[in-house]
Amino acid sequence: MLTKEKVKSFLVNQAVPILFLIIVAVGAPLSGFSLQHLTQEMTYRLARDSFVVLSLLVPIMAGMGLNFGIVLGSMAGQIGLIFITDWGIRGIPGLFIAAVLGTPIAILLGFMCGSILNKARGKEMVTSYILGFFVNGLYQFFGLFMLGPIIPITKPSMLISRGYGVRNTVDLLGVRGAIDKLIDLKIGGVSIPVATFLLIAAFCFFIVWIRKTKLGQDIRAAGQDYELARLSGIAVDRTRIISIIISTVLACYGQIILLQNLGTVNTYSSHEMTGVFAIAALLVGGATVAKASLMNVFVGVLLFHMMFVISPMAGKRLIGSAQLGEYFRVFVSYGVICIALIFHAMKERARAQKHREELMIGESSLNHGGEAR
Amino acid sequence: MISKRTGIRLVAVLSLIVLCVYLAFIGKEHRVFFDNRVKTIDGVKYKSEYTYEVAVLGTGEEPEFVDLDDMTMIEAVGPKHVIEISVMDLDGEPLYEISRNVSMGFKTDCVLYLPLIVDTHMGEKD
Amino acid sequence: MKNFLKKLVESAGWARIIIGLFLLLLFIIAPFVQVRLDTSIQDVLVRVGMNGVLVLAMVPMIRSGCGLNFGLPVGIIAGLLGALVAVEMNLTGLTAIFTAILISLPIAVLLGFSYAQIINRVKGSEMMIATYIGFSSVALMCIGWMILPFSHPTMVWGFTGQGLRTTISVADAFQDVISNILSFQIGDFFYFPTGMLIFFGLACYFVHLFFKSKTGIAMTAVGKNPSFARSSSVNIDRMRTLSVIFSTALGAIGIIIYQQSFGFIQLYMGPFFMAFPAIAAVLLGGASLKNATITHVIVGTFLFQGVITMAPSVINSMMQSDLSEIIRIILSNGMIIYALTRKEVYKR
Repeated sequence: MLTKEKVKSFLVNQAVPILFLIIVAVGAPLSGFSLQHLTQEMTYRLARDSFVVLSLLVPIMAGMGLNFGIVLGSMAGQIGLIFITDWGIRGIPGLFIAAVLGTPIAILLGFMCGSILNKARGKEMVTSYILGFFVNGLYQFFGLFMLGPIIPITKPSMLISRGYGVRNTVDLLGVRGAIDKLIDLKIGGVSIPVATFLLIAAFCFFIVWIRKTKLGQDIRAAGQDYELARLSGIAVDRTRIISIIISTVLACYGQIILLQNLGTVNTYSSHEMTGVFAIAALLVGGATVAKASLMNVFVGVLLFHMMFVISPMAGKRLIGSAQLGEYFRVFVSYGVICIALIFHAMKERARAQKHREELMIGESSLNHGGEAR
Repeated sequence: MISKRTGIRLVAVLSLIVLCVYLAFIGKEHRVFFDNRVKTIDGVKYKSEYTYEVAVLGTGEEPEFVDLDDMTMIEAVGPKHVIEISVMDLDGEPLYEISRNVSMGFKTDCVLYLPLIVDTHMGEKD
Repeated sequence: MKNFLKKLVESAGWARIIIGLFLLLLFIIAPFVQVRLDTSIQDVLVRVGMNGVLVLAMVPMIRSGCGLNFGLPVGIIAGLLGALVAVEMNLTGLTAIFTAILISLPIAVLLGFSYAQIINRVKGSEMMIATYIGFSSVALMCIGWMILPFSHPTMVWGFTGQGLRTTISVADAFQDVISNILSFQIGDFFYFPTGMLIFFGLACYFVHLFFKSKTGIAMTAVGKNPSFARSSSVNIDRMRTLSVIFSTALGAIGIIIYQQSFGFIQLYMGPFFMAFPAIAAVLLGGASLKNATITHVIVGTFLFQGVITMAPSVINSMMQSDLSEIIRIILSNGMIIYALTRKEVYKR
C-alpha cells in the first residue's frame, strides 16, 4: 500500500537519482540533441561503461565501501591492450589475449590493494583513493621508462619521439569495435552492440551467482559485521582481499570493453577518469556506500552519462558557454559523490546512535526492574 | 606428489596459454609488400618489366596497382593468405594471372619480389 | 651509543630516517652530477617557505580529531579570492599582500564554518568527505571564476573569452614581496628568502602559542580524548568547528604566501590537488591521523620539499630524463598510504 511514509522514505532514499532525473529531463531538450542521437549515444555508453561499474558491487557487499582501486584494474587492462596492439593481433583474439595478459596483473594489484586496505580498516575509501594515485605513479614509470628499453616494444610507432616509453595516445584500430560489431543489431536506426550486452548480462549472472555461493555468503557476512563474521569462523581478512581481487579483475575487463568501444587509449589518463565516473555513476543510480544493486548500476550509468553528454550543449544554449556546461558536469560528478557520501555517513551515525540509545534503554529498564521493590 | 587440485589448475592454465597462442596465430595482422623495383639479388640484376595488379583475397580491399620501379603494401589478418597477382604489360593489358598461397604465422612482414615471381613462378623472399 | 641510536629510531620513525638519509645522499651526489649545491639549497629553502603555512593548516584539524584536511582547497579558494581582489584594486607590494590576507580571512571564516557544519555531522568519515568537498568546491569555483565580475586587464581574457584567466601573473603586483624582506643574495646563485621564512616561523610560533592557550588545549583534548573533553564541559562540536575554521584560514594565508613566491595565481583546476603535498609533508614529519605538532610541520615540510626538489634535478642530470612528476606522485602518495596503514601506537 502506498502510504505517505513509504513515499516519503522512497523520495529521501532515492534523492540523488531523482535529482538527476530532473536535471536530465530539463537539460535534454535544452541541449538540442535529437532523440535518435541521444538513444544511440546512450546505447553505446551503456554497453561501454556498465561493466566497470559492475566491478564496484563486490567490495560494497564486503563492507569496504567504494573501491577507488578499480583504477588498478583499468591499468592492468590497458597494459594488456598495449601489448596486443604492439604485437599486431586484431579483433576478438586480440581482446581475448589482452584480457588474459591483464588478468594476472590485475590479480597481483588487487591482492596488494586488498592487503593494504585491510591494514587501513575504517579508512578504506581514502586509502584506496590514494593508492590509485600511487599505483598510477608506478604505472607511469612503467609506461615511460620500462616499456621500450626493458620490455621490448616491436612497433616504433608506439614509442615516444625520444626513443623509449609508450606514446600518449595509442590507436586501437585493430580491435576497435571488435566486440561491439560482432553482433550488430539495428533497430530504428540505432545500432545495438548485442555481443557487448550479452557479455554484460553474463557477468550480471556471475555476480548474482556469487552471492549464492559460500564465498558470497562470507563476503556479505564480512560486510555486515566484521567482528561477528570473524567470530563465526570466517577468514574475514582473506575474504576481503578476494573481493578486492574480483573487483580489480572485473575492472580490467571492463576497461578493455570500454577501450574497444572508444578505439583509442590515452595511455596515461584513460584509467583515472574511469574510476571517478564509474563511482559517480553508481551513486547517481541510487547506490550507497553500503548497498548497491544491479539496478543502481544501469540506472546510474544511464542518468550520469546522459547528464554528461547534454551538459556542454545545454550550457551553451542556456548561458552561452559550452565551457560552463563542462565545468558544470565536473562539479555535478564530484558533487554527487560528495552528497552521497555525506548522506551515507549521516545515516550511519543515526543508526549507530539509535543502536546505542536502544542499548541504554534496555539497561535502564533492567535497572528499574532490579530496583523496583 | 602434485595434488589433484594443483594438477587441474596446471592443466587449465596450460590450455589457456595454448589457446592464446592459437588465437595470436589466427588474429595476427601482417603486411604483405609487393616489390617491383629494380634490384640486384645474389649478383643477378633484375629489371622491372611489367606492371601488376595485386590483391590479397579476404581483406575486402581493392586490388592495388604496382607501377614500374614501385612497391605497395597490403595489410591482412590471419594465418594464411591467398594472393592474386595479375601481370600486365606496359599498356595496362593483363597478360596472365598467378595465384599464390602464403602462410605467415607469427611473422609480421612479408616481401614478394614480383619480377622474380614472374621469372621463376616460384621466387619468394621474406 | 646503541641505546641512543635505538631511541632516535623509535622517536623519529623509520620512514623519516630513510627519507632523511635519502635527502642527504641526494645533496652529496648533487655536485658530482653538475647540480649546483647553492642553487639547490636556495630552491629547497624557497619551497619550504612557500608551502610551510599550507602544511601548518593541517595541524588544527588533526589535533581536534577531524583527520587530515583534504578539504584544504576550501581555504585556498578563500585566499585566491583575497588575492584577486588585491590585484583588481591595483594594489602593489606589502599593501597588496595584507589586503589580500585581510579580505580572505572573513571569507575563510565563512567557508570554514559551512565546511565545519558538514564535518561535524559525518564523524568517522571526515577525510573522504573532506576530499570531495574540496573537489566539489574547486569545480564549483570553476564556474565561479568564469562569471565573477572582475575586470582588471591582466586578469580577464581579452576578446577571446569570458571570465578570469587560468593563471594570472602577479609579477607586477606582489611578487616576492614578503620573500624579499630582509633577504640577501650571495653571488649569482644564492638567494635567501628571509622574509618568507620569518613569516613561516612567526606563523608556526603563533599556532604553537595558540595550542598552549586554554582554547588550544581544549581543542587537543577533543581530539585525543573526547569523553574526557566532554566531561570537562568542553563543547566538542564547537571546538571542531573552530579547528576547521582555523585550518581554513591558515590555508587562505598559506596560498597567498605561496603565490607571492610562485608568481602566479592559479585558478580553475589549479587548487584541485593542492591538499595532497601538504598532507604528505605533515605525515612525513611524523604526524599521525590524531596528532600533529609544529615540529612535525617543520621537519616534514623540509624533508618533503627537499626530496621533491632534489630528487628530480639530481636524477634528471644523471639519467637525462624527466622523472620529476612521477617521483612526486609516488613519494607523496606513498607517504600518505604509509600513514593511513599504520597502527596507532598509544604513547603514554
